[in-house]
Amino acid sequence: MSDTTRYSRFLVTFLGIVVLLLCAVATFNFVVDPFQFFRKPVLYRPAYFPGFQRYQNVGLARNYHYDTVIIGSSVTENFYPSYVNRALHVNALKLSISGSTAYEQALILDQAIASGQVKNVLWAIEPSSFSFGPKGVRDDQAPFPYYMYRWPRALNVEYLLAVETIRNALVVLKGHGEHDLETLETWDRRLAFSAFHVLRAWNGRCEHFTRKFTPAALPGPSRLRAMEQSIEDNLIRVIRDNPRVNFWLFFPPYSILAYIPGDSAQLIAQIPFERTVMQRLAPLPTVRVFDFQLAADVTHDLANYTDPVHYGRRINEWIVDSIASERFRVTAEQVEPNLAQLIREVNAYDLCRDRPELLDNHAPANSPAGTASRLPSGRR
Amino acid sequence: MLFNSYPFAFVFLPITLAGFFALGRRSRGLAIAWLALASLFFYGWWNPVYVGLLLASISFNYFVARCLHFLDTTPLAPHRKLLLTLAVGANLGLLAYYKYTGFFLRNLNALAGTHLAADIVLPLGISFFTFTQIAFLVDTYRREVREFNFLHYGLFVTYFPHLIAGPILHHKEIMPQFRQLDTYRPDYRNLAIGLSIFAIGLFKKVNLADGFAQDVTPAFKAASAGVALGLVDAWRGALAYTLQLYFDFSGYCDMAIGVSLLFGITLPLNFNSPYQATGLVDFWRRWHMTLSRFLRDYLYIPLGGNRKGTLRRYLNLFLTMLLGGLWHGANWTFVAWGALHGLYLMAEHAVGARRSRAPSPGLRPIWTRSLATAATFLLVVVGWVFFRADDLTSGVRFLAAMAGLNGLGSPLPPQSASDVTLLLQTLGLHATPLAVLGIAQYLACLYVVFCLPNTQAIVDRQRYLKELGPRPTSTPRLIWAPSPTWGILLALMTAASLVRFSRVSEFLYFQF
Repeated sequence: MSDTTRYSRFLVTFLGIVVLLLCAVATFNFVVDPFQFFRKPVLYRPAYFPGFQRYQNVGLARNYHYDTVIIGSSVTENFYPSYVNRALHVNALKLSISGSTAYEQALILDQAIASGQVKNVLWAIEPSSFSFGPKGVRDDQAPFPYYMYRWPRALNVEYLLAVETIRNALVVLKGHGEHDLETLETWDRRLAFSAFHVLRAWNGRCEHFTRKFTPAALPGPSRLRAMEQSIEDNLIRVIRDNPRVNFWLFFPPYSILAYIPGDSAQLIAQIPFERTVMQRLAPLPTVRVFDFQLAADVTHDLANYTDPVHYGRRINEWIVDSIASERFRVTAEQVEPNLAQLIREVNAYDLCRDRPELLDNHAPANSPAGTASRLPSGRR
Repeated sequence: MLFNSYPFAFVFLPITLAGFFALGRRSRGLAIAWLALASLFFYGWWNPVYVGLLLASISFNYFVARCLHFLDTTPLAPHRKLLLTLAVGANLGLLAYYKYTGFFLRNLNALAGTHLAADIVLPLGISFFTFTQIAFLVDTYRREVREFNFLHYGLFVTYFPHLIAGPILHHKEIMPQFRQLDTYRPDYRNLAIGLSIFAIGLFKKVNLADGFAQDVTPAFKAASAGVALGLVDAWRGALAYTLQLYFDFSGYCDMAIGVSLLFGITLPLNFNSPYQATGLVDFWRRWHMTLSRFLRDYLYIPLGGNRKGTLRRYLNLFLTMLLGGLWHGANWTFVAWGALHGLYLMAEHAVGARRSRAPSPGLRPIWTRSLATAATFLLVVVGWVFFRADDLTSGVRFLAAMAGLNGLGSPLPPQSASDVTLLLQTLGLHATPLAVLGIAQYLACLYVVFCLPNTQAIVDRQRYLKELGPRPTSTPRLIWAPSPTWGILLALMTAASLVRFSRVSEFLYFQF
C-alpha cells in the first residue's frame, strides 16, 4: 500500500468516525431536547430545570401557548401564572430570569414576541437591570448562552453537541426535574419573611440612617450613559417595535431599607432611572406604568420581605390586583413629586430612632441565637 | 477566535484551508494574501479595533527594516544603530503602553496616594507580535535577513496559528517556507499528521487542562481572601495549577503546530516534556522553548551572556529571567516568579561549575535522575504559585499553607462538579467511584507528564529530531502511525473534546 493511500485512509477513518459520533450525539440531543428548545416534549413528561432560565426560557417562549409574558428579575419569580390569569384575564407564561440584565430580558422578550402570540407583557423594571449597559449580560457564574437566542435554530451546535445536554437529556428521561410550570422558580415557600431576615440581610449599622440623600448625588456620566442606552435599546425599542402589544411596566416595591443609607447607589440610581424611563415612555400609547414604590404601607412593613429587595407571594398578588384596578398608575408629570416623596421618606427613615424594639427583639423564636442584630446597641 | 471553538473548527479552518489550496494552484501570491486576510479575520474576531493596530505595527516595522537594509549601502550606514534603537524603543513603548500602563499607575497610586486610572484593553497577542518583529529588526540590522517580501512578512507576523499564544516565530524558519512550491499543494501526510497533533492538543486543552480548574480557582481565591488554607487543599491547588498550565499551554501550542502543518508550514517546537527535566536549565530548554530562545538570543547574549565573567553571567541570567517574568504579565507576582527562576538558574550554574571541576560522574543512574526530576518539579511548582497568585501576599500565604504552617486545615467547600462528573452521577456512579476518579485523574495526568513522550515525539519525531534528541529508553515506545487503530483512538479523543466546547451551567445568583 502506498504512503498516500495509507494517509488518505487514515484521514477518512479519523474524520468519518468524528462525524459519525458527533451526528449520534446531535441526534440524541435533538430528539430528547431537554431544554425544549426545538419542541414541547412528546416522549416524556415535560421537565424543567430550576436555575437554568437563560437556557430554558427560549424553548418555553417559542413552543408554549400563552398570550401574556411575565418578565423581570427575581422580584417577578413569585408571580403564580394562575393568579395572574384570574386577575388580569390572560393566559400568562413566566419568563423571569434571576439576576437578569435588561439586555437578557429584551432577548427573551424578542423570542417570545417573535412567536406571534404575545398580547401583553408584565415587566418589572429596575435600575439594577439597566445598569449593565445596552448589551450587558451576567456571565460571572457561567458564560451567557448566546447560542440559545441565535437564528436559525437548527444551527445551535453548542446545544446539540454539548455533553451537558446529554446529561440533562438523561435527567428528563429518568423522570427527574421540576414538572410544574405554576411553581417553577418560585421561592416564597422556601424562604422566611420577617423584619429579622431583612435586617440580617441588610447588615447595616445605625450610622447608616444618618447618611442622607442630597440632590447633588447622581451616578457618574459613563454610568448614566450606559443606563440611558440600555433603556433605549432594551425597553423603548422593544415597545416601539411592537405596537400591538400592551405593556404593564412597574417599578417594584423595594423595602424602604433598600435605600438606606440615603446616599447609597440604590437611590442615586433610582432617581435618574425613573426620570429617563418616564420621559421616554410618555409618548408611547401601549404602555401603562405603575410605581409600587409609592405604597408606603407595603414598603415600610419589613415583614413583607426576606431581604431589603425581595418580597413574597402576597405582595406579588397585591401587585397584580393593583394593576388590574389601575392603582398606583403613574404618568410622566407625576415623576418629580413621586421622587421627592421617596427622598423624603428615605431621609426621614430611622429604625434606630423610631422602632428600636425591632432592633432589640426582631429575632424570631427559631432564629439561631447570637445572630439577632448587628446593630451597635449604644445607638438604639 | 479560539482553536477550541465551533466557529473555528467547523467554519473558519475548513474554508481557510480549502481557499488556500484552491488559490495556491493558481498563484502563490493569492494564496499568501488569502491566508494573511484570513489571519486578520481570525484576529479581528475578538476585537476588530486592534486589527488596525496590528497592521500599523507590521507596516512600521517593515518600513524600518527596509530602511535599515537600504542604509547599509549608503554613507548613512553608521546611523543604522540609532534607527534600530528608536524602532525597538517604539515597539517596546507600544507594548509598555498597552500592557504596563495600568501596572505603573497602580504602583504610582500606592506610592504617591494618587487615584490615577487608565482604561486600556490589552490587544490580544501583542507580546508575541512585538517580540517577533523586534527579532526581525535586530536580524536586519545584523545583516541576517535576505528577504523583504511584504506579503511574506505580513503573513509571517499575522499567521493565525501562532498569532495569539505563540510559539514565537523566527522569520528564518518561517519565511523560507512561504517560497516553497510544495507548501501550496495539499499533502496527505501533512494533513494526517497535522490533524493528529491538533487532536492531541485539543484533548489536552479541553479534557485535561480545563478539568483542573475546579481545584485551582477556589484554592487561590481562598488564599487571596486571606483564608488559612490547609495543607491538602494548598498542595492540590498548586499541583492542579501546575498540570492545568502545562496541558493548557502545551495543548494550545500542539493545536497551533497541527493547524499550521495542515497548510504545510512547520512551526517550531515549544514544549518538550518540561516536567521530565532533570534541572532548571534543562527545564528552560523544554518549557516555552521559543521564548527561551528569544530571551537567549535577543536579551541574554546582547547583555554579555557568559562572556564577561562569572558574576556578570549570573547577573545577566537573573536580569533575563526577571524581564522574562515581567513579559508574562503586568504584576509583581510575575516579577517574583521570574526572579525565583533567575535564582534557581544561578544556583544550578554555581553547583554545576563546582561539579565540573570534580571527576566526571559518568552516566547517572535512573534513581538519581528521578530524584533530580522530582526536585526540579517541586521547585517549578513553587514558582507557579507566584505565577498564579493574585498578589505577592497571597502567594506567600499559599506557600506557607503548602509548608504546613496552617496544619491540615478544614477542606474547602466542594465546587460545582464538572460536566463529566455530573454525567457520571446521572448515570448512577456516586460518591466513592467519583472520589477515586478524581485521584485517578491526577495520577493519570502525572503519568502523562512524567512518563509519556511529548506529542511531537509520538506523532512527528522525524521532523523535530534536532529539538527532541534521541528517544529516551525510559519512556514507553509510543509511535503514531496512519493506522486504523490510531485513527479510531484520535477520533474518539476529538469527539470527546468537541462535545465539551460549550458549558451549560446553573446560574445561582440568589440561591433562592
